[in-house]
Amino acid sequence: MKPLLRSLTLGLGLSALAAGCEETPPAKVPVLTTAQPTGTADKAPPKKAVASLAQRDPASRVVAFRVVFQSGSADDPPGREGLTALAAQMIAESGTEALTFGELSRKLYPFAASISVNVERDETVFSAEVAAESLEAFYPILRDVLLTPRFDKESFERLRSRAVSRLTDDLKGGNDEALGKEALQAVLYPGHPYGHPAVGTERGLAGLSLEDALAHKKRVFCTDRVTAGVAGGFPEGFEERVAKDLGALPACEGARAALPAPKKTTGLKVTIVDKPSADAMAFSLGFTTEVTRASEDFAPVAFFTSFMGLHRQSAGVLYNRLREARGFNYGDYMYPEHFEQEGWGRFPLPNIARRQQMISLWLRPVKPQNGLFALRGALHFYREKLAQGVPDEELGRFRGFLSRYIGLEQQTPSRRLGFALDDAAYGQSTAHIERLRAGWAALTSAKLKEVVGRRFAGTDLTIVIVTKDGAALKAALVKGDKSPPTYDAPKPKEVTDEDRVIEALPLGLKDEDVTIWPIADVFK
Amino acid sequence: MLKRRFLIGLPLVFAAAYGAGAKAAAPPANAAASTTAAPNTAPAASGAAAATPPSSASPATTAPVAASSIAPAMTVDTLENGLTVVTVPMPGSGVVAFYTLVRAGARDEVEEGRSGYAHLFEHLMFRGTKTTSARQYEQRMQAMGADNNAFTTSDFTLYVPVIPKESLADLVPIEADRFQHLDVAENAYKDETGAVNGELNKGMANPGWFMDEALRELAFQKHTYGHTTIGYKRDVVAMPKNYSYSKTFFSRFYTPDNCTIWAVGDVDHKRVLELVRANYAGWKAKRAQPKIDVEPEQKEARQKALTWKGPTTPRLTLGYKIPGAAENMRDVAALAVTATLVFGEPGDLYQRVVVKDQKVIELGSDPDDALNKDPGLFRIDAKLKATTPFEEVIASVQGALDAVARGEAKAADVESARTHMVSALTLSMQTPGTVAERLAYLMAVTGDVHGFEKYTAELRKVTAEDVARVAKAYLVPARRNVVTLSPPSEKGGGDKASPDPKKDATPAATPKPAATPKPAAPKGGKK
Repeated sequence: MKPLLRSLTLGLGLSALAAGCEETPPAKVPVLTTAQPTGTADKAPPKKAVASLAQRDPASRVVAFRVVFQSGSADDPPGREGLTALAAQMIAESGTEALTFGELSRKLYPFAASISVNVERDETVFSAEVAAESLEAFYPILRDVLLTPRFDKESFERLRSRAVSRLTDDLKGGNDEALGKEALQAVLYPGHPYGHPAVGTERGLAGLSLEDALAHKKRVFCTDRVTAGVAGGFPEGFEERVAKDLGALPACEGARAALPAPKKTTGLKVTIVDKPSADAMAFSLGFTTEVTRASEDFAPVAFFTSFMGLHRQSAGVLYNRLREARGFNYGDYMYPEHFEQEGWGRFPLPNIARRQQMISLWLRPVKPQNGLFALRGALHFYREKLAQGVPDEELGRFRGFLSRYIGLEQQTPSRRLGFALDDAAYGQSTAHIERLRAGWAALTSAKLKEVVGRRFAGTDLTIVIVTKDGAALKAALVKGDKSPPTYDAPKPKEVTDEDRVIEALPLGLKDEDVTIWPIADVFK
Repeated sequence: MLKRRFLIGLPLVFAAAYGAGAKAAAPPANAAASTTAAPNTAPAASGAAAATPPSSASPATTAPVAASSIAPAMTVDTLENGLTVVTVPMPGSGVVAFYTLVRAGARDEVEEGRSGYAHLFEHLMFRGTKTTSARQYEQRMQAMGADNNAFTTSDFTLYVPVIPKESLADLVPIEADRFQHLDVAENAYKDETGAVNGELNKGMANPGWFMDEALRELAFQKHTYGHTTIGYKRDVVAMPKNYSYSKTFFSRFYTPDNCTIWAVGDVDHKRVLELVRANYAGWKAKRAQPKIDVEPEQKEARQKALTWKGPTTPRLTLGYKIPGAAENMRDVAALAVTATLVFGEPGDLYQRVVVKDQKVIELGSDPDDALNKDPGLFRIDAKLKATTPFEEVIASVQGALDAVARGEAKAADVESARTHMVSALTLSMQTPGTVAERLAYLMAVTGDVHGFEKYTAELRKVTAEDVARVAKAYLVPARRNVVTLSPPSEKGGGDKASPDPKKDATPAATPKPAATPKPAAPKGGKK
């Protein structure tokens, strides 16, 4: 059964992400109207209902919630990095006015419907899934969690300790690939609200108080910034009930964090995260972009990044040339916007929309002796495709793949809802998948080359490398000597011929172009 | 390369796949070929016996399983060569998960110096055949719009292509080809060992990998559960030289009687069976039965201290010896409920040490860890505050388990934990892929194609008496193994948890994050 897509929206917010984008979103937004909820206008004050988006499918035995706030770590006040995330976790995991956290846990347990929260730069999403038959029992708990969180001192200390551990143990200490990606953003966005991880910084977290979190909650988790998304087997009209209930959130008193224009990079700039315990080298490269999902150019840009390195698929150029042909590492990918993978999966997480975007390329950890070559290889293959483009025949073949593959991204009510909420956030009236398919269908080799030429940086790139012995790497980078690879197996001539070019690829780095960032100082 | 977690995912046609809708989904054509057996009466095969193909001379089809509880309706056939084919209809999903389960994992790596080959083979299966190069394979998969991957665990390897339903007839021949005619040149083999080494490098940044490896080594001195799925660093580094051995591994386990095809989604059983028969009937081989040493009974608690190579909060992992799922599903189900009961957020222990006293930052026990083919480990992971002594937490954990063993668990709490598990399983199986994976997993560890149904049936029966019984029998100090991890500055220290190919200390493979919720890393795979 085709899910029923309808919504009622009041106030601001739904196309707010598009407002910061380069192109103005389409004026027509039929998915999200500004009509007031029918039948309720003369009863409850209309301004009480918040925006909502409903995808009803009476055949579904699951109900998925995604309550999205246009608030994120960009709203962290300077010196209070991590405050939005901690406040959000206090909402989800401190209990309610009526229930302690322990009592709440007990009550939720049989549903297995844990209420989770994800905080990103510009958005925060509270999500939950529950069997449709349990909806009536579960929903009042969810409502109370969102409206009357307990915010007790004990929970605050527990969640702050956990945040510190996730920053220091898990991000800085336990995942060099993720560390490289976060460090890249810090370098791309200095002095910008996007410049620190959503989880916070060590000093920021240390300085937070319960009172800070409580005040911040009222400031950013407020009516004008929220959209209540619900999908699956809920009864007719249920979304109106949710929208009205969430009208009890506080009204927004301030505007969203203003975003300055991101810094422009000129030439190659390298930051080495010097981490003595790193046994391999992780690379993240990128640049900021004005292209978002609201842009006409998004489809061709996404086509090109997918062609270079679709996440965890064998289709990309980088994967084929660096991993398959050379056995360097576990994978090499590129993405047209900020990317986080959902769970253990291959697909992107929804509801991490941003007003300003970045394009990034990353190499999973490479053994150090081949690190410099792998970096040169990534630059070589990337620039080669920038220059050559994608021939029509190959473009047609890859378009066939992408147009089918992308349909697999939205197999669940929760994910379909998430993407629809993203469409709303970007002010789009046509579904993301359909926009991409249409954009790709119209793509020619010439058009792609033209867009790529305008939208991709070939030399103005920021590079982050997580490795040990940063000083030695810096010296090698600046010296610019050849960096021939080492292999366990002989390589065909096609590969060795490429290698001779790659190993000597000029980097043109001067001493001032390479910065060493000791791990102890990262996100301090 | 990891065990399944109760994760996200949600199905397109939940109602059709479960409950009342399931009966209507039964393909009528099956009756013609049916020779057998009520699905619920199939014996739970154990260990090696499970790998033996049915002796029936003609294809055997079972009627669809009635969807009692949350088990999906499915139809099972076995070809003459021993290949089992299962279909699970989820009409309207628009996609097909065409998964192939190979019942070979790190457990089956019996020779010294040869750890990691089940996982390596998972990678090599993407490297081409006699008639289709790796490049052609990749392009054909792309033409279908496939999401294609694979992963390996201690007990099995699972190949997990998901395709739009229209592509099924294109997919089956190339899947059949690679399972029967894999042909990897030595240089391509060596390149792929480099990718495996890269996977190891990625995981090595996580202390959980080292703790997992140390716990396995400590707990299993004979059985092959003593090594991780990705293998010892020294063995991975040596892989490029062992091309010929890799072929031996393939011939031992990539046989029709050791494989099961799970076709879940927009499928018609008759059509799937026709396609499989047309493309796999010529596959002839029998699974080898290498001897896996039985682990002697553990009689006293064991503990090992590791020192991490960088700053970290102290971490702790405990593993208690428990029976295998095939041998004792009843106790395994009760142990899974015990994990959920004692270490879940509502539990008294969590509320005390994490919420109230705040001596532990994170604490968790994954009930899936109880699901192993052979006797395995019931695992608990904890991240401690810097000032909390390990012994205090170990005592708290043991105290909570002892209380359960004394019969102090309340019936209402057991019911809550049981219901939680069933709900979590249900919510986690919403797509063809997640359904196929869960069903394959339970088959792999039980040897029974109906393993999932039997497991969930056992879960529903677990009582307070059952959890007391299994806690008393298995979750005792004499069966306990503990690995601790400290930052380098701590006095007294322990073994260095850093990789050195010349020594035995090595990275772990089945990445085991130190606490729940699990950090995003674990389930590895081909990519």
